[in-house]
Amino acid sequence: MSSNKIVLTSSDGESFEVEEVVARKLQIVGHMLEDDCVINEIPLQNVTGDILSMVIEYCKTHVDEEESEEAQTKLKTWDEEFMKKFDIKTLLQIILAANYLNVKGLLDLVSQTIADTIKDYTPEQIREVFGVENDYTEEEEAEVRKENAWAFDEADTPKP
Amino acid sequence: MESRIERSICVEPLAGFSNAREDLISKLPEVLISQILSYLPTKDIVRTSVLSKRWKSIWLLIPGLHLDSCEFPDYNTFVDFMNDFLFSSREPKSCLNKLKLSIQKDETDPSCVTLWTDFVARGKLTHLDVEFGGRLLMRVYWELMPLSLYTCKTLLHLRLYRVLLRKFDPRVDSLPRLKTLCLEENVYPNEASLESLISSCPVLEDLTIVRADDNVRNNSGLVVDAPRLKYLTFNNEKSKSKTISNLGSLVKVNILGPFNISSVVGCSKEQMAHNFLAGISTVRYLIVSEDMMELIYSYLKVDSLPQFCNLSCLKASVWLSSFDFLDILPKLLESCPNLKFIVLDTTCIVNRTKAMVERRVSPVPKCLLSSLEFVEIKNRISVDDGALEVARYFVENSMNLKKLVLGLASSFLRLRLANRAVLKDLLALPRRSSMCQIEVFNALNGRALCYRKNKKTGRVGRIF
Repeated sequence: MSSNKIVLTSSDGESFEVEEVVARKLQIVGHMLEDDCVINEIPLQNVTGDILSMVIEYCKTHVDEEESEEAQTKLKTWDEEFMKKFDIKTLLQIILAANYLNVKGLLDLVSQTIADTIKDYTPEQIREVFGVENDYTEEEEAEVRKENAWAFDEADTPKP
Repeated sequence: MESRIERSICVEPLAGFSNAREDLISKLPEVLISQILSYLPTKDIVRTSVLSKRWKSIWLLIPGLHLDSCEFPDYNTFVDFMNDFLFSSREPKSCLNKLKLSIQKDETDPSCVTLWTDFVARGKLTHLDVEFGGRLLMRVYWELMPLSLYTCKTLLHLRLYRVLLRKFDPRVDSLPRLKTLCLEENVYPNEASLESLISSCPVLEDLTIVRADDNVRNNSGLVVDAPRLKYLTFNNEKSKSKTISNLGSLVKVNILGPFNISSVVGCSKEQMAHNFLAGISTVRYLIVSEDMMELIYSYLKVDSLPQFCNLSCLKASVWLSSFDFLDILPKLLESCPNLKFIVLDTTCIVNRTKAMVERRVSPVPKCLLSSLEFVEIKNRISVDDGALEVARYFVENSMNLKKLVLGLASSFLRLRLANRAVLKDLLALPRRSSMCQIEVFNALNGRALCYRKNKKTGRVGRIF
């Protein structure tokens, strides 16, 4: 495996020097390297330094994904601890970054983590937590609920 | 749009949960929202439609969905929901490519699953899983799979559990992309239709066949012909014979539960067994059940096994009261010249006899002299000491053994003082490999019973 170093630069000018194998975990970088193998500095327009550093931390940990059960369990525990560090706002930034940088594993992990937050919340609680503004009129909302009434059965009744 | 969001986020320091008043989640691209939703139960997914107008139909763009009729208040509600949902999945914007249907119904419920499956098989699904759940769901409520399923060009993964399969005209390439096929306890009109299904998947890599107790008809044989197959699992495979052809790329074979091979017209039982074993002999990982071990045992009495030259890991369940394992062990190992790991799950072992001493002087198999590094012997219920004899055989003969793990029932040591003496004996035994570590566990809770370092360091851990 090549130990070539690559410099990744964030939208706010922060630079990170990483091993090529780590950088390749960012598929956007992988594709650039395939197109032109002499690049050693890559500007990443859509991600800030603080978020990029977290993506890099994830990629470093996942750089050699072993198949053994033991290694898998260890990675899983690391993933859980890693996700606990972030509030919802940061998670939403990481999911955008993982999508832009095309890091499949991280995208799945963050999606799962956000889903776990949403799970079991009533729609009112989701609106509260994420600051979603309800732009339905009362009649419209009642209509939507009626369409799939079974899903709203035992839970919340709409509050005025 | 994404870059705008990024900038608006990074002008302020990372805020805590309660300060996150700005509606960032609604601003995510639809594809990311539906990706998040795909990790939720159906009910929670549908409920997001009420959050705001933007959310009304985002959930319909979900890439994968597991629909379980039990999650609905009654079957008719489920049917109505399915009909609406499948209708919308034909919209050009729909991204649905993975669908799992878990069906629980009773006699008054309508039969719609055949129709739904037909509908989705004509779409662009890559993953489909249809199961008629629960042991109690009677066969009369299982439903027939439509013919369109056999010609779905987009499918990569198909699992069918307790469905009725029909006869169809086999055509090569009718499922041209299917890589994983898992067939569990289904009803087939005959073995030929199962064989045709398998051989109509030219790129199949992973095949699992689990039989219900009574769905092997006419006691005929089963032929598996899949040139790209890497993983093969048989569970409860009781058809009279199995012919494996064309399986040069096998990596792992898993034989679970009852397993049967018997003579067919013009071919003795031994010949059939030989053909089967030769068919899987390129495998790297092999897991075999007690029944399969029994078959190997009776085969070894008359002939030697084909060489398993690639085999690196062997995991076997052994019911030793019915035959003497130590008798066949050297022969078995002789046919695995490059074995690295062996895991034996033994149930009840015969007593030591003097004959074993004699057996130990038989030539040492090649893998013990070179490749074998790891041995694990589990013995959950026995109060006999046969597992220790097997362990002794490996310790005395393996030249490069790094670790031997012995899992014993806790009662093993408590009930019989003699067993303690044998175990002490084993730990004190001269080891042919100087690197060899021996660990002894309680097989029921995994806790260490005793542990001793290699003889070079001479360190002795806790014993008993």
